[in-house]
Amino acid sequence: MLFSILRKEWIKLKLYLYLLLFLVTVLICYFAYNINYAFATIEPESMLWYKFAQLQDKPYFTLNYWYLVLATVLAFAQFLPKKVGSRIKIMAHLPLKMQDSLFLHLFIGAVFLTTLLTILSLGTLLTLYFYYPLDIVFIGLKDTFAYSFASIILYVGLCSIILEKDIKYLFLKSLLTLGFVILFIKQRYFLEDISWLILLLFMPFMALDSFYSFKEQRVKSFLYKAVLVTIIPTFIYLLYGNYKTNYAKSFTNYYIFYSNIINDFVYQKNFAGHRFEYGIKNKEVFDRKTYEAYLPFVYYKNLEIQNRLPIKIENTLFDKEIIKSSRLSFSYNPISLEPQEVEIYPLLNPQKDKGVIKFSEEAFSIKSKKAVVYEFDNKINRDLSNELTKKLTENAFSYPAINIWGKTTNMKPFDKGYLVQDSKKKLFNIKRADGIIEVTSIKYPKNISLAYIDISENRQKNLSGYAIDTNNQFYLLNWDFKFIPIDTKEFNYKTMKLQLLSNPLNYQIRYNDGKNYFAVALNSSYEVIKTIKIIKEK
Amino acid sequence: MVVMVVAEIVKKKSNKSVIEIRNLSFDYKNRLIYNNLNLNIYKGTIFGLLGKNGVGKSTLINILMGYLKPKAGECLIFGENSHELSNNTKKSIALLHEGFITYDYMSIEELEKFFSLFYNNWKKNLFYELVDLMKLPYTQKISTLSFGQKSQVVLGTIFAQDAKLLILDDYSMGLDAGYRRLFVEYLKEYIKNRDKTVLITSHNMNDLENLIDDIAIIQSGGRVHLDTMANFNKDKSTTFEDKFLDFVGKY
Repeated sequence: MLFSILRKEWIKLKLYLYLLLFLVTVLICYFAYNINYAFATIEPESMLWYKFAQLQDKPYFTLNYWYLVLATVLAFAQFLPKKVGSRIKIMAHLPLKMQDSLFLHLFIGAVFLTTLLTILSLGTLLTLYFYYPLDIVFIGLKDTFAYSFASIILYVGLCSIILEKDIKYLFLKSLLTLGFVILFIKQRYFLEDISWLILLLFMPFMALDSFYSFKEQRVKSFLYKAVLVTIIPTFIYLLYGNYKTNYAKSFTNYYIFYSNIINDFVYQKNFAGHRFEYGIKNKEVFDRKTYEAYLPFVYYKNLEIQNRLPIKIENTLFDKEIIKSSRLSFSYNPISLEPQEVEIYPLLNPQKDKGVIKFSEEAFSIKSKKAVVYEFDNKINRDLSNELTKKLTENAFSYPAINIWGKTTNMKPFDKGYLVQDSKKKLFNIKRADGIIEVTSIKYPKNISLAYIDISENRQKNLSGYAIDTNNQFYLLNWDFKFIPIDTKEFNYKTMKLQLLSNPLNYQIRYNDGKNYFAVALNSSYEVIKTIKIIKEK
Repeated sequence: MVVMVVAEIVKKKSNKSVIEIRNLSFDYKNRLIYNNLNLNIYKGTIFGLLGKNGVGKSTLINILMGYLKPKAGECLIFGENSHELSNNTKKSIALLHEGFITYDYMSIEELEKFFSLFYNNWKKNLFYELVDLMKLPYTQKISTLSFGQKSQVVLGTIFAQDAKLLILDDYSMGLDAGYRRLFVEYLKEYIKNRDKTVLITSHNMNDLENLIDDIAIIQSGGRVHLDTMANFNKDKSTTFEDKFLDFVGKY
């Protein structure tokens, strides 16, 4: 039976399969050409590794739509003429159980599809292999596997849509199939995405239900109905969440600043649509002009245009240069907690006789037992790999690294390197300058568990960034990575965004979870001088 | 709507039913097709289901093959509910779909090979006897054949199944008079000396006059007239077709 149906489907689909194979070949060639062109026109080539690892710019991402196109063409070619030409009746009258007949057809279609997907994936991965480190090729393997999975689910879902006779079921099945595509196609896949495999078990039964509809029957299994009843509300919930995360407009409701004119916080309340309210909490509301006047360090450009600079505050004169050079901004978003998908980091190499940091040719990765330094021409730079491994060993580094934090761009005035936490939670600074790799142990407060560190090199050379521990304690890092605890009450690093701002007189940290807005003003010794909390009105 | 009642036809030569229709009712929304229809088709009978286009002949075939569900009543084929036919029963039914639907993208020999694997009693020679009459290469695609040629290929697959029951839904659709006559002649030749039961539907009366034993004339509004062919056609002063038209015209 299998052979007979396989022969029939092959005869029917072979022209489509040849065309799709041609399409896949063109796609692979076009992808390879594009990658080659990208690497030929960029210097250094590791910039593209950086784009992949740090910016999640995956060169093959748009190919995922073609995976879906393959599934769509095959599903329609296989089942639409059957339905339109009523040949589905022949299929239903074959002396086979209906489920056997349908599952054989689906299995054969899935085999054809998988063959095409495998060729496309292998072509993509082979191309990646020539240009990217193996770490990235493995991510490519994971992603192309996910795209193939999405393609197969879409194929079965579309088959069930094409075969369905009842408009109500058609709508539901379309919702599930398209909902799956919307939810599943994304930049990055996680271990929990394995739970989508349940659809691979469910979807064929959804298609069988559609095939039964030709005989005005339905799948009667309790399990099928139970899964259907569970999946539909789950999908609606997930789609709503997806919409909220990716498409719904969100905005900050309160911008809070510490005013050195009135030594109090002023706020700008955002009603959206360019409607604002300005004021001091529980005191007064005023116009924009007054608001800006209270914040001379924020709106100093207005003062400059009005020829009101330098301005005298607390018996000190502040001109434009002083204000500008004092400005500093660190920001934190809980999404930063998500570790990088591929742990490859540019190994910058600033030269003391050059003002601009050149983007490095090499990128490093810390494996389970050693460090590896990649370079484009030789794939692995053995000398640098050995040097970095040796320096880590000399500093009693315990493999593997559990966290690597640092600013990976070269668009910064200095390079402080990376702060790397080893498996025993010791902290190390790894950096390279003038061709020499340095690894130094960094002390941090005992009995804390680090949640996140941000390094943000700046010309002030006063603060190098910040750290957050798992007890929501916020620390500023001085230029030598000394941890300075800051009293940020009610800060929750899992739910709140945070921003540090500075001016010639103060630091200000503000943080919010979208409902509760906090701000802390600090003096130049990082002591709290004032705090505020504003709860968003409903 | 007035509802007609049906008389049971009693066959003398055999009383073993191949198809039993009990209290069948069916409608398309407000359009009544069948109301409380009772009908037996006995083994060895050539049964004609006649009626104008659109009165519900194919609907009955679709109900019998399980593509439509009766609103009331039941249909049994070889004693099995038409909605739950076993594989063995399906093998016993050679079904000609309205419009000679088949796998047009296959060649003649590919079609034969495909179906042959599903039927234990497949008679390859019967298939090729019909095909050879057209002197066509076996490699020719069905889609490139004329409709008449295609009808013969499809009929070949029906005969080759060597099924106990042949259900032929509107065989005359799309065929010119020559191919219709050929179709009936081949069918007569095929069932001669073979113990086959045939249910054939058509709106073309003349071709069937010397073929069928019993008739059911289906009229709009759910009326069905059951009779033996001999009884319906006993008055030789008018043709079968005229009698049929007269009969249908009364309603």
